[in-house]
Amino acid sequence: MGSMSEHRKTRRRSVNEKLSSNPQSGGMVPPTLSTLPSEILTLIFRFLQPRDLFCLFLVSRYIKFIASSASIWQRLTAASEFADSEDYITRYVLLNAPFRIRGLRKSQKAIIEYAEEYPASDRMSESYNCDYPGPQDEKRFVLPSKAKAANGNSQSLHPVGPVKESFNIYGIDALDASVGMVIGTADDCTVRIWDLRDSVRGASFAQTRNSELDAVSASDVKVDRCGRRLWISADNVLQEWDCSTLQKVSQTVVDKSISAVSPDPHAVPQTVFVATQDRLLCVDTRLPMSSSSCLPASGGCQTAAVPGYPVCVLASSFSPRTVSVAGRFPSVLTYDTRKFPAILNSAYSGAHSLCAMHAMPNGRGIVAAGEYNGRGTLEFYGNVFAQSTSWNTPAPSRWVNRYTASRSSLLSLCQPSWTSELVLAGSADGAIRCFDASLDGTYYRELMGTETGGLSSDSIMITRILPISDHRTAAVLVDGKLKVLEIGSPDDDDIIETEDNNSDETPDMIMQRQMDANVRQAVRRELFGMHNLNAVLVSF
Amino acid sequence: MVKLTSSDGESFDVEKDVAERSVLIKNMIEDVGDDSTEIPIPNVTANVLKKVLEWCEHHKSDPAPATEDDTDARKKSTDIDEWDQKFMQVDQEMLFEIILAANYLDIKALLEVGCKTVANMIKGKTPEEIRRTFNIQNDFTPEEEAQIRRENEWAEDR
Repeated sequence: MGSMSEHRKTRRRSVNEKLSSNPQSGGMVPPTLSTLPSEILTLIFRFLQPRDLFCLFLVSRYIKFIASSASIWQRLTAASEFADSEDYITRYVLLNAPFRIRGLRKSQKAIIEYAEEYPASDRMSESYNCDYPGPQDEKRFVLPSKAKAANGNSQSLHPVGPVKESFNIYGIDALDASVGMVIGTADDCTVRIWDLRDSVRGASFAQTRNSELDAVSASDVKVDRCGRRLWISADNVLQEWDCSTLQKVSQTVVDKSISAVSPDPHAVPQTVFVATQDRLLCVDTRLPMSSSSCLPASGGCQTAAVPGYPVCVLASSFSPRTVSVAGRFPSVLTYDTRKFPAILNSAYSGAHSLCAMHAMPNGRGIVAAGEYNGRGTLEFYGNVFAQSTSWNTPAPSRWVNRYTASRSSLLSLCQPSWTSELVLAGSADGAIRCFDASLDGTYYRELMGTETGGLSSDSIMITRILPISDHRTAAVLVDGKLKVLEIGSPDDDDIIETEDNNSDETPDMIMQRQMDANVRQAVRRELFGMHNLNAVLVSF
Repeated sequence: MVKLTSSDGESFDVEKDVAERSVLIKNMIEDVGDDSTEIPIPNVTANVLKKVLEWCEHHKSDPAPATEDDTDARKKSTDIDEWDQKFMQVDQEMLFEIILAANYLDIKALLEVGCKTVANMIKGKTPEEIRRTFNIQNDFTPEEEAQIRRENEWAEDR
């Protein structure tokens, strides 16, 4: 055979010399892999597994373009070795690649309940135009959950029923701040994951019914730093969930109603701080704590006294081994997590209620938001991570903005990682406002809300803002509905407009449209030049 | 017998059932309705056509390809029968010419064998090795490359 091909080779050369009209190879140029037509490359790549396809992504632009084409990846999902795999994230990625591969990290694991038949792009736009989620459409996204049924776990996996998503969301947290994946609990007793980039479908892509938990009482939802564990508190129950499988891992009962939780980013694997009336608990769920009787300070639980009702707990990776607690008492208390019940610092605030805290990068301090005399307050405490000897003395570096912060209480606070000076705060009257946190908390501008004329109702509570760093977006929890805040540079005709297709939300949609129009107006006015932020709140 | 003429003017006398492995030729014969006329194959040179006909000759008695079970075929990526493997031991240029010819002549089974062969050449290689094997120019900037690596870092130990 070798000699034959050798023969052919020489012959071929002579043929080419006298006849330079091989249309396939464009004359004299012999075909190479990168000059093959795309349909043939697609055929070739269909024989490859994801690992090799990812290698091809790095070969050249053209090869990457082909290797990431939808037809290859769609095919993979049906027959791949992952088809029956428990590794849901891989299935999810395969199903959605290449549209959604970007930004997904290994640490994100999630249950996927899409059907194998990923809707083609025309199908997507179709469902975008029609009333989605309609009953028929919903059914398409249900995977046979046979693998789950065998699990025998108390939480069985319920397929996404043909119900409209009419639930209210009680708490959300980001699976990873760099990715638009948000996890949370809703009042239909489910734990759900949403993909914020998926505003076309707009539905949560995974959910598990949380039968044991009365979700109406859910008070706080937090994800640990790696996005592996989810902590849900409701009444006096603390549940630990695995984010990758959406299964409950453990449950801890404490003796009083829990108001807030915060996983310790430094204690691996799992320590979580839990605030209840008059107490801050440090719970280690590896140690058994089956009944409430073992409190206080036994087994996996340590207790510190708190002078009142705590509303927020903060154990941030920015703050070195400390946990801070604030609420309906006039101080921000900071504890050393290594010597836990010992108090490290107490910074006097005077505010009536602090609802949210955020640690500034590099351990600079804590920004807190809340309510003072019926108005919003935004406060900063530096040096709270250092030992302070005297009780209730104001922190040396501190600013307070109680005049221009907000007309009503601030409920949520975040610091987007794409900026080091700005904080965003959400208020009880539906405004998302932007503050300069580097100096003195100067009110900067309103991204959303009454000032831009959008929301007149004072009942809209912005209870949570989660910045998604890679995309300059934020997940916002507005009155129990998840919305996406798109923050961009002013380019008023380019503002992404997505409208909620829920047919029964007509007033909302009208409001939405007004809001979008108002934002565009605000942008044209160029209210503030420095950061040129503009924002659109997208119904999700 | 059917007479095929390659793009460079060489003629091949082939049995009808061998030639009809190619859907294109089969349709042509049906259209012309006369076996004796010469069928020009303007897109394939003699050396490639000869190779393709060699394959057709060997596979002339193969059963008609079963209704495509894509998923099954996909899984057996490495499974190329021994004769075909030997047949495909040619230089890259010829391999691609055969694939292109099979595509043009519409010989599904040969096209598949060719694609599998190339797929097997890609399998298990690093991006750099793939570039070297197929002589592909890396046209990414270092930043782009880093970006792609970051985006796919989750897949690394799969």
